[in-house]
Amino acid sequence: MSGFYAKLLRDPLAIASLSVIVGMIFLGIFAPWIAPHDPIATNLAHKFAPWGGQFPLGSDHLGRCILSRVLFGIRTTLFLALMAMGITLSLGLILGLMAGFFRKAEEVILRGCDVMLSFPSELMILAIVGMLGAGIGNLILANVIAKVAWYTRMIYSFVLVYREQNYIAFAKATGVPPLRILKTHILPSIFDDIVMLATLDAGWVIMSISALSFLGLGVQAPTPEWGMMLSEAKNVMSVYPLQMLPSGFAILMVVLAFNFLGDSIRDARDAREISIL
Amino acid sequence: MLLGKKECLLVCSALILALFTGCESKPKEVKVAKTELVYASTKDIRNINPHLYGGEMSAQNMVFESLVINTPEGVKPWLAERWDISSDGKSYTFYLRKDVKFNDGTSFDATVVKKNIDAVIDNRPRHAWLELVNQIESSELVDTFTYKLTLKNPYYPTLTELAMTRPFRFISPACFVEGSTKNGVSCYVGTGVWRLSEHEKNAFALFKKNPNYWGEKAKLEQIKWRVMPDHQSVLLALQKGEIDLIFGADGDMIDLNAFSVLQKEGKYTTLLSQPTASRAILLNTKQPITGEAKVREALQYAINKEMIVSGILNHSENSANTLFAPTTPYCDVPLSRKLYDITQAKAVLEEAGWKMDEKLGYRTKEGKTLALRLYFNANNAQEKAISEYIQSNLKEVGVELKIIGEEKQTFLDRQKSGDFDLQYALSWGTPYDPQSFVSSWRMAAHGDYQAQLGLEKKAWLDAKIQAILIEPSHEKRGKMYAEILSYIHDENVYIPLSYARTKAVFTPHLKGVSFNPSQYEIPFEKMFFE
Repeated sequence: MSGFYAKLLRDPLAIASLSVIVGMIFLGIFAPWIAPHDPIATNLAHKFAPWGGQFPLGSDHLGRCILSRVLFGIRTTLFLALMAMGITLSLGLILGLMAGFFRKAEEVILRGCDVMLSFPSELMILAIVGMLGAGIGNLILANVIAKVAWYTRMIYSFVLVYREQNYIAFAKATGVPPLRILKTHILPSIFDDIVMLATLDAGWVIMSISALSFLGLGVQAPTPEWGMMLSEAKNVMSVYPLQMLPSGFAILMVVLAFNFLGDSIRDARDAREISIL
Repeated sequence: MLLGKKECLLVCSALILALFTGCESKPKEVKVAKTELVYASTKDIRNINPHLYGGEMSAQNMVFESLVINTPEGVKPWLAERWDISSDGKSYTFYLRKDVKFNDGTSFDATVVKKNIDAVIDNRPRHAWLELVNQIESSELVDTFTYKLTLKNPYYPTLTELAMTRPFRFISPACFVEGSTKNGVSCYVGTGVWRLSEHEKNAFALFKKNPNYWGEKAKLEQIKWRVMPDHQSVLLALQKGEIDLIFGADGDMIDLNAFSVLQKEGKYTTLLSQPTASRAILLNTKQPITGEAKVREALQYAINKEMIVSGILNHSENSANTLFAPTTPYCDVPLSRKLYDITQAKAVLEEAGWKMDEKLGYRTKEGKTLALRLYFNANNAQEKAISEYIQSNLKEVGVELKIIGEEKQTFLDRQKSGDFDLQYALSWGTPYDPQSFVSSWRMAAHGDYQAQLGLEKKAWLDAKIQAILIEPSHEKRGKMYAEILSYIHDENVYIPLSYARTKAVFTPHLKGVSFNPSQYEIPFEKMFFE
């Protein structure tokens, strides 16, 4: 275990990615103190202000400060993504462990997953948002429903590796209660697999939230959100191209950071046991 | 096994290289005198059956013609050379032109007129919004080139409505399916300046000049209607010279900010029509909060429409104080002006018992927050910007406005169900205003009807509208219009924002670009290249 983390810490890309993510989270938490302006205060007299001056990254079509909106956007985009992922992961973990450990639940859960996985997740998200209506709650719900089957399956496959190990069989034979086996033997063994899974997937969730807001189906105005800002900037793309940069760059950086970190974690794990993935 | 980091980098750089090599400019075609105009629209022409509502109106207008036409100076003869109106105002006799032929060679005569009008009447429920269809009593053939239309009542907008883009236009009887048009047509053959020669769904439509046209022929040989769903790609296509013209009314063709920049740059010619339609916010009198007259009044004062006009619409439209512009027929009614006045708005709310909750930042009454919902079409960027601005306006007086962008169909369904507090209302403009727009207030499928249901005198309003439409005296009609417009104005059902104009952007070589009275038509026949 310690070798894995030591290896990760020696990887400069992993450290850089991690600092971007942690930095973003801090910027998001302290946004009200850092942001130069109120992110939702409109000022039509100063719309499309250039970079620099009163608005460091310019102002948008309603004269709102773009820098402030990007900073507050961390709270929506990044935090919502982390929340959606947290919920999906917990649900997936419970279902995956059950399917992997209890033979009776295996069939039911896995066949359920098969049904869910037969729909492309983007389609499923659009369908759910279309039925329930736009909004933050439904957005998260849609993401959770669309992804939980995939998490369940992955976690199930991690559990399978350990299920037939001798020490598990021994624990079972000596009458250790199943919950305790799961908690003390299986969960710690698959923990870094899960971390890797979550990191690799975080980028996808951020993109999905931004994409829905870009389409106008996700987070609703005036809450600043990167995808929505990008969509607003797109309307004036040919005449004010700089408008697209801040939000586009923010999405790029965070998604890239998560993907690189996920890659590094996978590499660090690969050295230990190549057979899993 | 997945790729390692190094391979990944390699693939990435190769992809980026490939991307940039794609940008290499292609050799320019040799320029010849252009006879083809390429017009870009965000929408496909779809089914242009003139007796139904599924197609793009500007395309329907290119191919199909009517008996009379609307011009800024009033109704003029078109396929009918002249007409007589009986003294009781109930029967109209049309004397048709004798030199008109459909593109398939069929000649245009009174039999064709009767067939077409009968086909429209056959589908009456679908056309209920247009009162004329309900008023037609009989349709008869007098002789080969004379046609008589008899009405139940002396319905005054008869000629105006016969001239509209749909449904009273003529399609060749050869296109009828089982003697009618309501279930679709087998071809799109009209008498118009253009004929549809090719159509690839969601890609393009090609209109060729009608060589045997009875009137003034088109100056261009063909019009290519290209479909580009996103208005930024339309703009980029114009800058690249792929298209020649952008033309549209309601913010769905061109973004106003882009329009202003193009106007300033001067590389393209930009044109604005006379104000045509009214842009307003509809307040739902049937919902609990907006049902309160005082709240509706306060909202009138709370919205800064001057700023919307200057800041969002870039002065391309004039701010409105009444639902219809005073230049609209019968609408020059002296009504009070309700201007932006934030203190007044607060005072009215205070008076109505909505007290400010400092902790919440919004007003409350009996534990209920003053929260309203405004729905808009998520694809319309302009509506979104205006909604967001109104949201910040209302926040200043302590009203929480939730704005919700919806997919177009959901948005339209919501109009029918009346499940909204605030909603966009864009009138149809001349020649539909005021009579057809007012007439639609009586239709349950329209948001206007739903929003007016809470009014104390809704039944009176509907009856009055019905009475106006069949009132033969011009003076009396004027008085009755004044009554209903004052009522609607005093009850604050609409918050007028501005009077919309149609916009056109085109290459400087293109000449003869103008506007028809209806914002839904594009006069391609007058355009030519220099």
